[in-house]
Amino acid sequence: MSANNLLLFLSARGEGSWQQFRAAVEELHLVETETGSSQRDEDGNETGGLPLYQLLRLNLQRLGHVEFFGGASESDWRVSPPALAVSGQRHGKLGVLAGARSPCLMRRFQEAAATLRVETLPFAASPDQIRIFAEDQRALAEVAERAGLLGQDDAPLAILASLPTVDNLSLLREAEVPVGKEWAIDQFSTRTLGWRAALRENAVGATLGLFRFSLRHRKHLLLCVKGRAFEVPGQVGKFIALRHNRRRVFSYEVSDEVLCVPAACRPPFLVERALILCSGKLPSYDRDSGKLRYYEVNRTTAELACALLRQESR
Amino acid sequence: MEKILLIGAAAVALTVTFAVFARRMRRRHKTVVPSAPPEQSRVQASLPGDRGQETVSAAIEHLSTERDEKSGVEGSPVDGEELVEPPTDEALMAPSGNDEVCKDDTAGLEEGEGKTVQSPESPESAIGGETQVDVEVPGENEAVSNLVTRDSLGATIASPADASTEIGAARLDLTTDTEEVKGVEALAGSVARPDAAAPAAPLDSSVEAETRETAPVRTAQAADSEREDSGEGLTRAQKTTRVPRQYRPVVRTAPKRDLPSVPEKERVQRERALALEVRLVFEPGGLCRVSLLPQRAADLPQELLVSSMEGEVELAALQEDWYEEVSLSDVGKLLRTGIEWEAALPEGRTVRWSLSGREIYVLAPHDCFSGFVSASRLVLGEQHVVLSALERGADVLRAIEISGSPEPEVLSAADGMPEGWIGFRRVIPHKPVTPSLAGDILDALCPLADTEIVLKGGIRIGRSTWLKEYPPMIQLRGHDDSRAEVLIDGQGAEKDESGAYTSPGWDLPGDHSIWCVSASKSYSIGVGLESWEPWDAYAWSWGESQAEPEFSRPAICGVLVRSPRNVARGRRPAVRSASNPILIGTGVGEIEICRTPPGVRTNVAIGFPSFDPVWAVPADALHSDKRVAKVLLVGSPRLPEQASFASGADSAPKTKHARRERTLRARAWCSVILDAGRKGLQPEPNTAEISAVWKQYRRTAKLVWRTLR
Repeated sequence: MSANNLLLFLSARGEGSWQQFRAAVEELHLVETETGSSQRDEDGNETGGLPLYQLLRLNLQRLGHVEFFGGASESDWRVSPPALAVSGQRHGKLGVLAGARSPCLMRRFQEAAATLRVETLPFAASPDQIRIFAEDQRALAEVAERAGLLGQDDAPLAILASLPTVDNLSLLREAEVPVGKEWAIDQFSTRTLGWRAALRENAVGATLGLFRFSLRHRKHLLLCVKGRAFEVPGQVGKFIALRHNRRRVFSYEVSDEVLCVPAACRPPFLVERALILCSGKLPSYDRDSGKLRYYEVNRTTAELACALLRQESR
Repeated sequence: MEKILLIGAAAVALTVTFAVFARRMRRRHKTVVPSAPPEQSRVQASLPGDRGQETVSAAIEHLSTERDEKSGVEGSPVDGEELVEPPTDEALMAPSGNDEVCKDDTAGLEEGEGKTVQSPESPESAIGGETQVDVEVPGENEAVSNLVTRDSLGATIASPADASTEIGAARLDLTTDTEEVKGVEALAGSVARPDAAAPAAPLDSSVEAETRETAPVRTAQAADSEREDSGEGLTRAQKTTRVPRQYRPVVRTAPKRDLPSVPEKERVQRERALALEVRLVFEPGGLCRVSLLPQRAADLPQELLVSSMEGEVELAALQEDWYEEVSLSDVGKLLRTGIEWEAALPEGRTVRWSLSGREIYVLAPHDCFSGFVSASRLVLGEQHVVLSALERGADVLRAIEISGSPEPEVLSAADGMPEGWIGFRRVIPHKPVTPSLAGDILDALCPLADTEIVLKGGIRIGRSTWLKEYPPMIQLRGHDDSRAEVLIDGQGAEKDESGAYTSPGWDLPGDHSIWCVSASKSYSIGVGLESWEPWDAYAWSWGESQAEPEFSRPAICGVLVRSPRNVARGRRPAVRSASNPILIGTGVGEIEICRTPPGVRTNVAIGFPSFDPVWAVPADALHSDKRVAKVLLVGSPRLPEQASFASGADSAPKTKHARRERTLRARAWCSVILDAGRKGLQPEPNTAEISAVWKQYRRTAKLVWRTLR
């Protein structure tokens, strides 16, 4: 059994609870078959200790197959409609199959794409990525229509162009700084790109800093700005802090069209989704440099991603 | 000589007359001549008196709809069945063959052996159907009504019709529904207890059928004899006229295909008798004591007076579900012949308890009681006590040995066993034994293999539903019996190398059932969702759940970008270079301006045109560098719609605001094209065909512009 079956199950159900998702991971014996290789969590840490269901959830989210929690409407998870995400390549167009899958749909897709080159890429803790290549966008649009898929032209750019900048504080919700000595407090260091212990006074008095408050199973990530605190997604908060300290972490290899970022500064998942759709491949982790590498990212997409994250690629 | 002949003739005439009379009496009154009541119990047989003419026709309406085709005999009543109909004449005359058995097991019913026939009972689950056993009436029996009679034609009179159409129907439905299986199993389990079966009417047609006509009569009689306390007080009921049944073992056979189940609306609801269990307790000193445990329903009073042919018995509640045990002096005889108790309730109802008579009782530990309580059969690994009629002791001992049990301890009358009975203590079977196909009381000593049907693998999308093309693997877990017969949807299943069973059509969409001798299961194959609708998962947010949705911003769903909520739905996004953000369509007024993300310095702009764009034009063509700026062809090179605006087509908007909006859009459309033309911007690709198309747009724009002026 593989994560492909998990996606088939999720697609058959449509939406459900977190318990159902976890139960499906167990029942499909994915623990026995999925071996995580160079998996990292949202903080960019090695996921040796991360449960498989969390890895699966993160990958399904990154690849645009399933939305979880806040994006899943009234459920804990909800499968995205099947779509062909089209992006421009150096030579021709690339279509990446994303969203729900069913045996019937997959047969239709195979029949519709019979005349084009189709590639299936396996990844650990993730459903297989299916890529289809064509000379022009029209061919891919026809494939999508025949297979009953929705089409999204210029998917990476369209997603990025629909996102706010990371430092748009008007989108953040103000919160209270937790009180109590039992809270473990850490501050994100833009220098080391890691967490260091801090005090509540640091958080309250910080001009701008990202703080993590932990108490047993509870964890709060707060952006503390001059006495005020805002709830913020972890990766968004890191880039806000990096922006504040004018720290640049992105690098772009023009010749290879590879965008690199330290694993600790993994982009927010919507930005990462756009970057992954450029190639249809999950980023690889370079142990030597400690960086994530996103492939086949054209310059325009890389620049827009960096601009949204208030980073300039080197 | 003549005297001798006369005497002989008279004797024959008397015998015949008596037989006819007895037969008529049995048919009419459905009772038997009660034996002398024992001194202690003060049980009085309740003669219903004029219970009404129990006609065969009246009984027919209660007959089970389940009828074996071969025998035409209907199954016997099941546990709790109140109505035990006499078989029809046809049934009486029908040959036995592979008859559908009533649920009730029939102890010792072996064709042609002339053994005492026990009243039917259903100790076993009805799963897979039962096989009716031919029974034969022994010559003697004081409880004539308990016995199956073989008529003069030699036809075997089957046990009474299976009054439980519900269970009978459920039996057929069992193959398709695990829940039903469980329910029926539970029911059958209760039936399985020797005394828990419904009063299967004696097979000699003296089966009593409680018709609706007679019940009120008895109720009235009971009411007449009611004492002061209508609620809690003991109600003196009339002697029951119901004759105890004989036990009939249930034979577990494979379900028959294509047998329609009884529709729900046609199933006859019958009142079931309560269980009357046999209990054995070992007392200090090593003696054992055999008693009866009457079941108690929730609506029954704490104290109750029940009647039987042997007299009256007072019941006192012990627990919510049970009355206190009852010790009877003649329990030995009653265990053979069976017991029927009846009580009238103040509200006019009657409640019955039934224990079918038999020669062998299997007792096992009970959750609610100490000692050993009657069970349907031996269970592997469990300790049991087996009660056996003296004459069957050797058979029982042999069967116990076959089950792999260590040598049991024998209990005799000196140990407290009832008269005529012998007990076997510490019976612990370790080997499963296949029960007989014909049904035998000794089947109760055949522990079934602890086999479990396991459904593994596949993709389960529901409680017992698997996704089409991803069915489960069907395997047997437990006792390894490679010869075990497995049926899927009534068809023999083949076992492959992996140990999975398959049969034709086993993985097709629909409901399926699996059957083996000791278990059954059902599953379904279904199709999951095949259409998925997009929704606004993230609108101008980074994925946090608390973000307020932005109605003027596009939303993301998977890899899709959806138009903002404040514009018409269904528009697909168009991503353009910021240098050519204006999209032009074929229709006059089809213009969309793509915008760059706010606060971002980028060359990317996004818009949501309601049309299929043809051109992308620079924002400020008049001030652009015509050496660099181009009019980009972004769609198929289609000609403009010829002057549809200028001609005042019928599609003109009706309201003033709409007309103004349309005019403004038309002006913008014309202005962008004319400015680009005025600047001299060239189309790209700059082929003759495309240039000609662009020229046509300029002409149309000029014409419309003049019209607007």
